[in-house]
Amino acid sequence: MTDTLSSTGIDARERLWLPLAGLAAAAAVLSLIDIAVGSVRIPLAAVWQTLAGSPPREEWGTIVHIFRLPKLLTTILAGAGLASAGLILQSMFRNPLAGPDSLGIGAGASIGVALLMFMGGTAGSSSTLIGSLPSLGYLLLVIAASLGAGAILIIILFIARRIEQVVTVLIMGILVGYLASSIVSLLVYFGAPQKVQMYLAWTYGSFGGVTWKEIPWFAGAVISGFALALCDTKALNAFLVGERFAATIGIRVSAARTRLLLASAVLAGGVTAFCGPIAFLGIAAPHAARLLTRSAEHRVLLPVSALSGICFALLADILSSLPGKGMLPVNPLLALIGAPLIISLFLRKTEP
Amino acid sequence: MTPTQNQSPRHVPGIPDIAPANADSSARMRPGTAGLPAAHSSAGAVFPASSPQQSAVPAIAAIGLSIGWKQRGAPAILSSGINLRAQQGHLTALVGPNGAGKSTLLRTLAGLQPPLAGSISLAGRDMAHIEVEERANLLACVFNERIESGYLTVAEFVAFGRYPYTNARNHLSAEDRRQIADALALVGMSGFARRSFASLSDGERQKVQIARAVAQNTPILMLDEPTAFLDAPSRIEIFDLAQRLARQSHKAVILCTHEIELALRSADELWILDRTHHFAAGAPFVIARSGAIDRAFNLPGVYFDSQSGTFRSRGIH
Repeated sequence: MTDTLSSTGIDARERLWLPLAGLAAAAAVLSLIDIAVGSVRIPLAAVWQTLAGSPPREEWGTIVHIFRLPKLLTTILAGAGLASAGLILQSMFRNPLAGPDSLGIGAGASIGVALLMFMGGTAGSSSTLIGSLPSLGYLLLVIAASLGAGAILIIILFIARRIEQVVTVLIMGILVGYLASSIVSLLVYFGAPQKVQMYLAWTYGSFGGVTWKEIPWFAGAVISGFALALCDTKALNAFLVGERFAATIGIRVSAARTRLLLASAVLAGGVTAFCGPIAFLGIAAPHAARLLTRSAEHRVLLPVSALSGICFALLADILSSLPGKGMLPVNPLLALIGAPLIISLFLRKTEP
Repeated sequence: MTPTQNQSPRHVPGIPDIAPANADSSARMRPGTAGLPAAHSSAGAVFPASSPQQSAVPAIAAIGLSIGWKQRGAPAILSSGINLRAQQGHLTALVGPNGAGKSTLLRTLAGLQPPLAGSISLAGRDMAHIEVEERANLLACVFNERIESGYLTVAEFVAFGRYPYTNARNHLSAEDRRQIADALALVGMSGFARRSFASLSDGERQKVQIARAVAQNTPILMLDEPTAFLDAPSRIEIFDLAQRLARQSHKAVILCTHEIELALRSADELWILDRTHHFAAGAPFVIARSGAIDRAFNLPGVYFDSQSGTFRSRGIH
């Protein structure tokens, strides 16, 4: 079977296994390191023993199960979610610079959070970076972000149904994003300094806020968005060539576009709600996937993008935990690792 | 792939040679198109009830068709009252000056743009009642647009032609793979299967795009200016290919082109949209003699010489 496959030049699978196995191995190693690092360092061997059910020290077991494992899962879900959303949007808009931010979904979530923080009466007393958030009520924050992202999504879907050209939808998304950002800017400008600091802390992004209680919701959002996209890989392949092209080979363009926008909004909105506006990852991971697989088949690109996103997110989270006391903000770290990595990949493989 | 390999007498240049070739199939000479006024009008006279073609169901037909756009709900009609039909086994060339509405007509016939009035039928069925998925089994088109191919190989690109037939996971059966290989062989691009689509020349890309449409295995094939950006030998190659797809693969091939001279030589039927968006149809030599081409392009310094089948300058000769 493989022989006939490769002889025709249509073999998605031959380009799938090596990057998939490599990325999975990298993600596994990074996951172990991610559990090991933090304010309390745990030796790698002890991490393994703890995961196997026999922690060498009681408090390590507690730390791993209560703090490190939820944080690890959050990091994995965020990386996979943003990378998938980025791939969907880049292919649908045929624009390598499209990402979850370009639909204004992140900005919508920011509006929700900003409105909650600046208009809401309950002001947190603590002013440490991430520490101030739980006092606001973490779930309230998630709801506010989801509502904001959802509102923007409804506007974008409404626009998308009335507009023929998909590029126009992208431009509208960017404009709606600017609109949302300017509202946030005004809120920040007139906000009390303490609330401004709280809001800024949220914008730095964090994988550490989600507890076991919220994990099922977060996982549900990411998995359903990913599954929705996986059902539409044919449409994604065709959209990458062109929308009119897709229409001539039997794809219902408008319906597929709505489903894919919905999937990317659930993915990006979910991550923004739980982790804050994580930038860069959604744009960078799909490029890594394309460069690694040299494929245009989304049945390949979607899982490889998700795994690349997971690796990016884990690296950023490890680096943010390395100083030990007080975590570094995730957002700047992501761009700091990601940008040089993508640039080097592009430089190594110049041919399209 | 050179013109001489094709045994058809239509490849001898010039209109007089073509006339007998078309006369062979005298059934194609419709009384309505013979006269000058009829060839210029788009009235129902083009398809008289007595025509022997009436018995066969046309692959594609339009009655009272108006094409154009809707602007804020109000229709902006480009051309109206278009009656046309195309038969399987025939090559139809749609010609006309820039801006006459050739691409709009083609897009409307392909179902990508709604007609403002009138009806289109595919294989005798009203297109308004044909679903997108089913339409892809009846009609394949190659539009002249920028293709973003990324890392696609030639074979992967041709595999898009099998999309209407594959499941959601896009599993290619042995039959799908055979059709892809056959389509590539038909256009003479078998050796390119594993090449990257992005690395192809314009002519090679056009052939691969046609192979993609062939792999779709439809009775109707539409090509939107397939010879644009191509050098002279490649243009002839594409017309040869279009002719073979009509005669040998028994498709209704409709191509829109600026190559009037090539179209007159190889098409079985000419559709012409003029500067005033009037539509006329007929056998190429009838259209050529009627003066419709001259009127369609209507350029003061240029005239169409129906003897040689070429455009000539009125200037210093």
